[in-house]
Amino acid sequence: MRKTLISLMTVAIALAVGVLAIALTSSSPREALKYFFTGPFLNAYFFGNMITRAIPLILTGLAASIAFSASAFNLGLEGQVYFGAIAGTLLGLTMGSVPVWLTCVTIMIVSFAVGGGIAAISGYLKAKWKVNELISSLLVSYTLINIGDALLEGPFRDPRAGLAASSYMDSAIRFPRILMPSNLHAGLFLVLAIAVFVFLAIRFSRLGYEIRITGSNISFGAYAGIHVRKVVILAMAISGALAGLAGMVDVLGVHGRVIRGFSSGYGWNGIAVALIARRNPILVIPAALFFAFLTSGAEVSSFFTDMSPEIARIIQASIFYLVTAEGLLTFLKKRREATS
Amino acid sequence: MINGKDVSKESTRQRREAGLAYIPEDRIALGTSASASITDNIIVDRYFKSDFSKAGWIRYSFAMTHCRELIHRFDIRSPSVLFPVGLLSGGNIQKVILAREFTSDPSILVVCEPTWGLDVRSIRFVYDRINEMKTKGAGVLLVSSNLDEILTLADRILVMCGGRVVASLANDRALARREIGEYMMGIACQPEFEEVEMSNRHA
Repeated sequence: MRKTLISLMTVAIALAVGVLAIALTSSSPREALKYFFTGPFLNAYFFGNMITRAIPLILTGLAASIAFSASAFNLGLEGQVYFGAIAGTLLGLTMGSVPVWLTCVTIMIVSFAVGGGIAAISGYLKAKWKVNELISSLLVSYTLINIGDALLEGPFRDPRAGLAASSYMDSAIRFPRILMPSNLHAGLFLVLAIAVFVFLAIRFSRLGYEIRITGSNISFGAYAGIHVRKVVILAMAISGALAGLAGMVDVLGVHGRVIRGFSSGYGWNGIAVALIARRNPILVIPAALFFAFLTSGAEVSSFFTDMSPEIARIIQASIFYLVTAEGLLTFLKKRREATS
Repeated sequence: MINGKDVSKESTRQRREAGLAYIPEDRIALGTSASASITDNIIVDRYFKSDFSKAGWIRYSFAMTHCRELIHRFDIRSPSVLFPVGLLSGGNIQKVILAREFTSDPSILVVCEPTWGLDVRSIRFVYDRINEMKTKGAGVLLVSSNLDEILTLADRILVMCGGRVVASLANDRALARREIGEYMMGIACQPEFEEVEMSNRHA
């Protein structure tokens, strides 16, 4: 109860910061605020695009939640999202005369596996040589983002495209749109189903149990006979896999191809989403919607007024500061209790 | 060696499965997960068994019935089996650990400082359960700094001083507290253990 209150407070304070920033920077703050809060609900286009924005954030939010639940920190979500999407798309472009559904399923599995593989490296390094997974996942991710950029600028760039992007995949592979004229696509149902499944799996499955116990007290897990190193590697792998899938779902639903830097911010925002949701896979859904609402509200408001769309970033940054500060305080308090 | 099987290279789970149970000295940091429920704390050494899980999913209805029984048997005072262990009193936390470690049908029990910080009622309870395990035929290795506790429970006492065993004594009426004290302080040492000391020094 108290924790929910803290989450709501975080959101309220961040919104207050946003309102203040809008009031200070806009010449018509009343208009800007009106569009900021109501804009995403004005019509089907804005509303659909807001939900579309939340789709990859739900997946990255789940990805971060799973890693956090095992007390592992996957800071490489950005790279896993990006590279998962690149690997899946490249495969989709080269798979020839195969039934459409098969291609679609295959490339999702591949992006899932690639994202998972990348994160599993950090999990393995942690289990084997106690390499801090926070650092290793972050470094691997930055390297992969640059490699991905290079691939899209070079060998895989569509020469006809005006920007660094791959060729379009067959439009039949892509998810159907469900709310014209917006970008909202059927990937939403897949993502919601995954969120419910992850929730049930963390609560009631054997692996979910092992992840929870390992995350709550790793010495206890080891003492009781749980193979904690394996659990940490698996949790990292599943986390990365969901991130890889997040990129692929966005490509299949919205873009139809990989554009350089299309997923920038998905990973970091996913971490913030998981922190607001307190690792609860179901609460990840509203938290992701809230983040999407901030971006959409700022975008709509900047259409109609002189407000800058970067306002969304300011609000997101305040949320980030607040949730991490609170997380740090709880951590320090715990440590104080443990040492006294 | 457990029941004639060498377990020194086995995993923790294999050792537990071979019949080892362990009540650690630090019941909060090692013996339990404070934020997890009583059920999750009790099933940690058995959740993977066929009664408790099916096709990768834990059967919580079965697990909770099992834990309700144990709560009753071990007299754990808690509003429910889903109550977080960290919010229980020290005595009840220790009983949760006993409920787990004493019901895994162990043949060897390592028990460290089992009554540290507990109230008299809980201490009595813990002693009764340990004696019960003894009569069931389990080997109990009690590690304790509480002399009264050792004299109450032990059949044979190994006294350690400076990281070495210095005496092995049968716990009978004739045994004087003073005698144990001398061994503990390093004033006296039984001859068979002295040998060890000498050869260690030469090496």
